[in-house]
Amino acid sequence: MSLRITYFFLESDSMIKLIRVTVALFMPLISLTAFSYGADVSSNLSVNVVPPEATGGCGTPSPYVPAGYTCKTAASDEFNGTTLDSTKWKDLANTSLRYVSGGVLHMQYAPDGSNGGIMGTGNNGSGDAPFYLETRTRWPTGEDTGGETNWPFSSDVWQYCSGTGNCGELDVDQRFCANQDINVWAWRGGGNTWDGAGYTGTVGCLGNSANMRDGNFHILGVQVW
Amino acid sequence: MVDGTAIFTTDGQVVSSGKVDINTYPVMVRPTLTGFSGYHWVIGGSVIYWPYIIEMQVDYVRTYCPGCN
Repeated sequence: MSLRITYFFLESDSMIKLIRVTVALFMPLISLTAFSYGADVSSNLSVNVVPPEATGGCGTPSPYVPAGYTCKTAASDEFNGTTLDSTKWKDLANTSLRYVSGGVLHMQYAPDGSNGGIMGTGNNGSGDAPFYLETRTRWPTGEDTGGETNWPFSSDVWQYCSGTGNCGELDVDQRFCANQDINVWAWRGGGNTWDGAGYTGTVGCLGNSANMRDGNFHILGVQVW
Repeated sequence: MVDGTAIFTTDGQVVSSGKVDINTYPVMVRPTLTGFSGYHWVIGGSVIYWPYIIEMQVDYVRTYCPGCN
């Protein structure tokens, strides 16, 4: 029996300390993740410092932005300050499970299945392609409990809806996959198809050189033209 | 949409590239910004029932296009 517990300790807005505690109890495939704030840990730390950013609009472009592309402020957010920008976002779910602090959006998921999901307000997109979408995100560490069937997060999605149940999505990142990878799930069609049909590229759990669950921020991008 | 090409990257490395069938997915590839809610980011959503609160952190979401501001 093997019981794995992962704890995160947040001590300030600019520094996050993380420690993983593994307890072997001879029960396979049980993986638990928890957050605890204000605690002090002195060993086995992985520190992430949030970099300085612009106070408004779009921050310094990453090196991955295509040449000739510029940032559309109305459809972008640096998550500075201490409140969510209501001109850009509206809540989908439990507002107590999301907050802005330390230059990042904290998006939480509770044991009862509720979450702090948000979506963009109105038509703040860029319109038709060509466009390039980019997000810098990090996820809790630790192993998945069952591979592709687990969906802890539905996140960082670029969505267009023409009516209820008739949405197209570009899923910049969508879910945990077995052990380490965030997948790229390419297309959702005009109905409710999630199979990526119509897209010739690879979808699903995509292995890559980066361990997306290493506790560090990673930059995910999608360019469409 | 010009020709339906899409490239997905992680930390600058291509993880998937291909083309979408614009005849099969006209909603996706020919947005008009006059639909239900237009193009937008969605952050958060589905969750399995983990016994503790778990959290992801988003440093930014950005939208780029030629000539945008």
